[in-house]
Amino acid sequence: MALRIDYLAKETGNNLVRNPSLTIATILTVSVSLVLLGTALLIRRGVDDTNIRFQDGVEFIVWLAPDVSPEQRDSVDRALEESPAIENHRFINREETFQEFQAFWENSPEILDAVEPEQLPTSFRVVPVEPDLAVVEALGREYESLPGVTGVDFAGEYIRRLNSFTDTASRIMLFASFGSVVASALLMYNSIRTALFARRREVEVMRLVGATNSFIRIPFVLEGLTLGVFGAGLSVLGVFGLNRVIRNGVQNADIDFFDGFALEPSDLTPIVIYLLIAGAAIGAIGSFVAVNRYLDA
Amino acid sequence: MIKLENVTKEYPGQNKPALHNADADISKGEFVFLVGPSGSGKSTFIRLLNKQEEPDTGRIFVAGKDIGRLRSWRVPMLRRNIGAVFQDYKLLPTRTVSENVSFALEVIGRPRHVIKTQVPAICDLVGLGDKMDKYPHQLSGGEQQRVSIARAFVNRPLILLADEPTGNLDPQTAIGIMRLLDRINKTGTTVVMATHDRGIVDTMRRRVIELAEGDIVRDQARGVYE
Ligand SMILES: Nc1ncnc2c1ncn2[C@@H]1O[C@H](COP(=O)(O)OP(=O)(O)OP(=O)(O)O)[C@@H](O)[C@H]1O
Ligand SMILES: [Mg+2]
Repeated sequence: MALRIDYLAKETGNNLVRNPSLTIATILTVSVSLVLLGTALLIRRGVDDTNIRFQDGVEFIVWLAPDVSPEQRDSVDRALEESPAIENHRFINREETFQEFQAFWENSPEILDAVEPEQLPTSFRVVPVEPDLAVVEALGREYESLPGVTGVDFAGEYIRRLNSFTDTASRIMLFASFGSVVASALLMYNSIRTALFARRREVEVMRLVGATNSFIRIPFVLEGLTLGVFGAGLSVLGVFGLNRVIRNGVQNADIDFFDGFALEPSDLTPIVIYLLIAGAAIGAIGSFVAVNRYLDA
Repeated sequence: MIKLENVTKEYPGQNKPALHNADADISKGEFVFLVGPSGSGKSTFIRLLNKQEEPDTGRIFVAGKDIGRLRSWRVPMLRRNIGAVFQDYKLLPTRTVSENVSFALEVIGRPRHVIKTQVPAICDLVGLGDKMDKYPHQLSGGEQQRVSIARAFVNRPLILLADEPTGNLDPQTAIGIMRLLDRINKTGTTVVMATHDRGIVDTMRRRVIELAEGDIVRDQARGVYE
């Protein structure tokens, strides 16, 4: 079948301008729902970046001075080994620290360039038997004053605060975005149905003279795709704006722990792709279902 | 060309069938009038032939094929062989005469050069060669019906279905339309036409199938209206 570009462009264009308020409403709804989805993904991404440091139930990290002596290190090791309150612990050597560091800052070559492995502190990652925050804190403090130890970071405290906050936040976001994605798909469906209704004479004639359903469907699905991708495009702008606000906030707050949330615009590429795919999917599915139901009726 | 075997069609919510145990055999090139009072099932008969409606029981053959067994994706191919004309023309008001006619070819993917030659030829055939750029609202009823016949016939279908094509026209204009349908029939196209127009049926003396309350009560070669 010879598909005619001019035919499709004209049909799709006519459909889009036929009902401007509905067109705008559909694009805006898609974009708002995808901004919510994008925000949920942003938070997830921040949490993932932060969690790299605190995996596998590690509740605190005992940092050693970069110039720690082997004896000092062994005595810390022994102290951890002998404590009945500690489930297990693991030494993180320079290479490993550097690798993690690289992974963590992979998008900031200027930071990576400035750091040599020798300058990085080594550490013990400790998993206590009892994950209760107060117990962990009391336990961790015991090691703070040992020779060669520069400090103890409590993953549990931050992680839990962070996780409970971001978990709730991202769950609410995901829930809201799920709801609004469904809403935008339904609006998309109705928008295309309205377009079909506006063109019911054409569609009736097409069916009578023997146009295939797939031919009839194309301009409407293109319309849905256009609406969905436009909406997704707007949402991408929204997410970039939001990321900027978060970045500035994190940088001004000057809490290193939240650095994982300061995403470079280039970090957003996967999220942008997801949003565009989601927008296209909303448009394609909404319009496809609308046309099929119309033609089957 | 068309064969109905014991076809019954009852619409949901109706308590008697619109068409009841209908049998008919229409050969290639025949011209058949469907007559009968309002509600007797003429339109139903016609809509069954191009699968706008499905029968409840019985079988319908078109060009040797049992259309009840046709896969849904093949229905468009069936319809490309069956032109359809209606009392209300079903023209697209925002398109000109030639655009209305070429629409029927465009949407079945005919190449542009075919459309370019076929459309003016068919517009000439129906006598509208000089009105190709007019819009439907600029035409008389008879002219609009000619456009709709042109659209139905431009793809050279084997069968032309016409449901009261002269229903909205004055007798003089109606005769013009009948001449056109007769001409199309003479090209070998099978024509099935539902009508209330006694004068036309009695003048043309073609096969008449009469329906009453869904039953075929008469099937007569070279028949009259009643
Ligand atoms: N879509 C439909 N839904 C329900 N009932 C219908 C439908 N179409 C037709 N009918 C009923 O089926 C019967 C036959 O209708 P049909 O349209 O075939 O008659 P007809 O002979 O074409 O009448 P007319 O001369 O008025 O056009 C009527 O009782 C009508 O009410
Ligand atoms: Mg009728």
